[in-house]
Amino acid sequence: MKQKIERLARLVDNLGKPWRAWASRHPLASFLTNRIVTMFVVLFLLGLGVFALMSLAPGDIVDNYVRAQLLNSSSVMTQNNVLSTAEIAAMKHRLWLDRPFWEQYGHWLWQVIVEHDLGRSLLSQAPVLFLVSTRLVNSLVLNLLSLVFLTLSSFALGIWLSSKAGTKWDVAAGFVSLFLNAFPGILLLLLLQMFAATTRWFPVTAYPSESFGGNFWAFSGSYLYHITLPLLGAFLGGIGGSLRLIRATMLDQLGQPYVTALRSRGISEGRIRFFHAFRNTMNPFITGASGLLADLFSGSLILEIIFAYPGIGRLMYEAVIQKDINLVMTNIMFISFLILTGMLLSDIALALVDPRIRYGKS
Amino acid sequence: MKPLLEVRDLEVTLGSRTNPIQAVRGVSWGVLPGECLGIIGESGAGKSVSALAALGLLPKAHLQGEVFLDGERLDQLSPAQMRSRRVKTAMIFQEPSRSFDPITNFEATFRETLRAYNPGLGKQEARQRAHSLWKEVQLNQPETRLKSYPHQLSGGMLQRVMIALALANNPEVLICDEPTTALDVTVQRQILKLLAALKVSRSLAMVFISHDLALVSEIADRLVVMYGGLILESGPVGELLTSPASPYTQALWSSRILPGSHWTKDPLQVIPGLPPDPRQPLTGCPFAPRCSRADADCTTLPPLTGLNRQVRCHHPLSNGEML
Amino acid sequence: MKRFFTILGHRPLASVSLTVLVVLYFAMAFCEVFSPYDPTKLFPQASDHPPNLTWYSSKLGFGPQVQRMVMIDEVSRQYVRIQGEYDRILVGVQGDPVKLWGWIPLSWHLFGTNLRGGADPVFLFGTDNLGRDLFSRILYGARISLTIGFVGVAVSLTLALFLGGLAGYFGGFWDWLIMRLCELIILIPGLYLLLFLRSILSDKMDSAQSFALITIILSFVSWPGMARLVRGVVHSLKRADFVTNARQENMPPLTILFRHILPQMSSFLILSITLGIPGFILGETALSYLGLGITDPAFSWGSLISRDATSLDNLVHFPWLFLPGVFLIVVSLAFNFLGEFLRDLSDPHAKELL
Repeated sequence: MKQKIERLARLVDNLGKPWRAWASRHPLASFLTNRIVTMFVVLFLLGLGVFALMSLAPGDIVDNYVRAQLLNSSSVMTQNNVLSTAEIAAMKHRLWLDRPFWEQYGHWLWQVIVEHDLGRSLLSQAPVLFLVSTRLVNSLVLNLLSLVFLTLSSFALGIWLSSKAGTKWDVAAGFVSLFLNAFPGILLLLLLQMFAATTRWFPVTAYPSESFGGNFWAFSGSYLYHITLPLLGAFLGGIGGSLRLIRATMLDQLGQPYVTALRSRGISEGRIRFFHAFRNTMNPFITGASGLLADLFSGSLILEIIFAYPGIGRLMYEAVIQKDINLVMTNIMFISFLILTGMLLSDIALALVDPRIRYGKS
Repeated sequence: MKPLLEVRDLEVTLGSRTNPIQAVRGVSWGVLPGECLGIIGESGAGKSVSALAALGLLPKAHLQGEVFLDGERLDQLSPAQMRSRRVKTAMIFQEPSRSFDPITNFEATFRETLRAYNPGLGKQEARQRAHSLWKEVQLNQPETRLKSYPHQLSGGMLQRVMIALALANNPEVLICDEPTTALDVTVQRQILKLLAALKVSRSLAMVFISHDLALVSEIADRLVVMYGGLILESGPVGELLTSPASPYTQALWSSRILPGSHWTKDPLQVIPGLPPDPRQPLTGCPFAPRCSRADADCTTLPPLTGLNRQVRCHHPLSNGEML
Repeated sequence: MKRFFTILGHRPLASVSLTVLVVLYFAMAFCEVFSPYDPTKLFPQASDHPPNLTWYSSKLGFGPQVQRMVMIDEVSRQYVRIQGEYDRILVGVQGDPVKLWGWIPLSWHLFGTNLRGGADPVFLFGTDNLGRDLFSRILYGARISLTIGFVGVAVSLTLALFLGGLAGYFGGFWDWLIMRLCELIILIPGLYLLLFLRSILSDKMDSAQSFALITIILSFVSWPGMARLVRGVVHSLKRADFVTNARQENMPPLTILFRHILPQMSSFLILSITLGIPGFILGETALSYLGLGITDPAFSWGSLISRDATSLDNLVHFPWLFLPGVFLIVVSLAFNFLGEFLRDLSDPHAKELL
């Protein structure tokens, strides 16, 4: 047994040789190829896991539909709407629900990739793919805006604070960031909405009522006005954590031996701080940025519900409430795809910033 | 001749106000042009701190005493003035792999270093200067290697690059802070040779900080032995090693690894005990708890006596005496 | 322990946090005694009644007392204070019969008014729209909100210790497998995963079942983060001398893991418990807020917020309905401040705190 495994390992090793030779010559390209392939493998496995979990759960979309019909019809005391057993079986067959989950998954992938059609939502009757993609874009705009906003301000503040380490400002900012970090996000958003309602300075909903098709500039202006408060909520919720991260890494970098070496060569403090220490601080931040984006999406789910913003979070919530399993699953898959893309982008950014990744270890 | 770099009664306190660490407790030394001063001691003896603090490289340290560079008093200057005076000095550090910004390539580092005191320097000119410095420290292929990053070179090569960077602005004083500690033994020799050659060719005043007495004795002209933030003994290297007066120097010298000591049956000589805690005030001679000659006298701090040959001990060893 | 309290004395924020938490957990444990009324008891004449505690009146002088109020508008639920009508708040009164921890019958309450003598009931925090005492409801709701943190952290920490320890100690294939699994779970934004899991699991459940289900779901979402930390710690401890020695003495791996490695992680464990609890409490709040958590007849702070504090109208006219939220904020902050303090304490540079 052991010999067999060893032989297999050697075979795999030999097969990998040309790839490794190529990789050592093109470290950046191999790094990116590796990441892209990993991304698709992870996404595939994730989908498989999601489908497996769904098949484990009791009941499926048709059962739920039938149960809902039964409940409705019993009140009216008519038998017209109730499906016969044969009809139910036919419906399940049409939706591939009578197959094992891996076949269902394969069918689903085929529908997405080749046919670009995932059927219609059970309740709103809108095409699922269209629903998910438009909502996803809305959420993406909102969350990217807060990511950019958050990144810029936490870098500015974090660097400023690192120069004030140990002073009253530093202590105060430490307290405020810990406070914001610990403050429950839901309540923050509720308070912001209450603020909007009582002062009437801001709208209580986050999406403009006029349509996008009209004047682009008017729409954008109105959009920005509507999302000011939600953005503020996301900003206050996220700034605590990222500010603490940046301040800590910046101080860590400024304590590194290379900083003393730079100082001994007469490099100015400003250049050490902004050129050397700052660029090295980018590194862990970029690594954490995709996680931050995932957190923002998680937070924006509540935000979208409270402020009635037509994003994927609210779609997910409505789908869950209405037991539209197909829609729930599509949401999960798309949001994972989005976060994985974010991770890929942050890997690329990391390679651009860090030569150790760009050129590989020697 | 006047010393190029000199510290007088230097005291350095690190740490917070509530929890001070007395790293250096009153130290005086000077180094002449073309001379190499070796500072030796265990870790925590205050040898690196005294040199770093003298040049203002420890922003959080609290200094007392006087520091002179080329006759000018340094310790009362502002950080910006200090930076401009530092052009006459350069330093080499002990961990080459951690002493470079990992994401800046060497060409940019050279350009930045050259421009630090010469802001208008053009890109081409900087590259040419970098090439000649690269060759001066006996590295090859400057055309391709200058484009590489710190993680792509070995420790020995990085240390050579660090020396080249140190020489970039033609310093008069070169401070080497344990420059060979993190390197392989064979590479240590090469670096030491290179430094010795540069000392002569550039007539540098060199301060060589190390814990390895045997190593320092090969390059230094004079030695300062530090312990617990104080100087215990100093003097010309030959005299100091043939007839050490402080029991500490004697113990340090006999604990070195001799050629062949790995096959003789004699156990390696060690100094029992630990160095004093820099958080506590000194009571008496700092070495007394570990010293075989210590007695009741040693509960008071002995003064540093002598001129060219100084010693701080109540019971110094007479000429040639062994412990 | 002595060092802990000495350092705690120098950190006012941490000591206040600890005190607040101890008081709240104590009040939660004995909520039957501390609350004046049964949380489901309806006061029909007192819907959306404002808090009525006062400390001084010319009639009764100084001391805790309630001022009588009367509803003047059934629609907008406006109350007016009646001048000169005050009832004293008594310590230790006989009131609604309740069962302490579900089985010790009891009708003694710590405080209340003389209801049988015609006095007005005391509403420290006002009432909700059905006229139920909010103070009592908050105390009873704490049973769920405050325990879910401990139970959840216990479940997810057990998972994390087991799987993370396995990955860190054995390395190789197990490490690879467990860490990839962690990454898959971490990848999906937390709330989306929560909603997904909640939606595929049945919703026809009683309160105890839904409590268990929510705890399990929250633990499932949060163990990978902890497991990664555990793996890192175990991985570095594996190379420590005492572990190498134990291995050379042929001690079985699991014994080494449980006897030598895990005890070394005690400060790490205390820290992750303290910082993990508010996450669970807020997770439960989020689910309950979305109507997918604790549902009637059971209630938690999250479901109280969801029921009463989400309509703007309520918040503007009956601001005391936001009080469960205030409790939530206080508990979350207290755990975080305490965790920050413990983090400093477990830091090797912690001596400098004094």
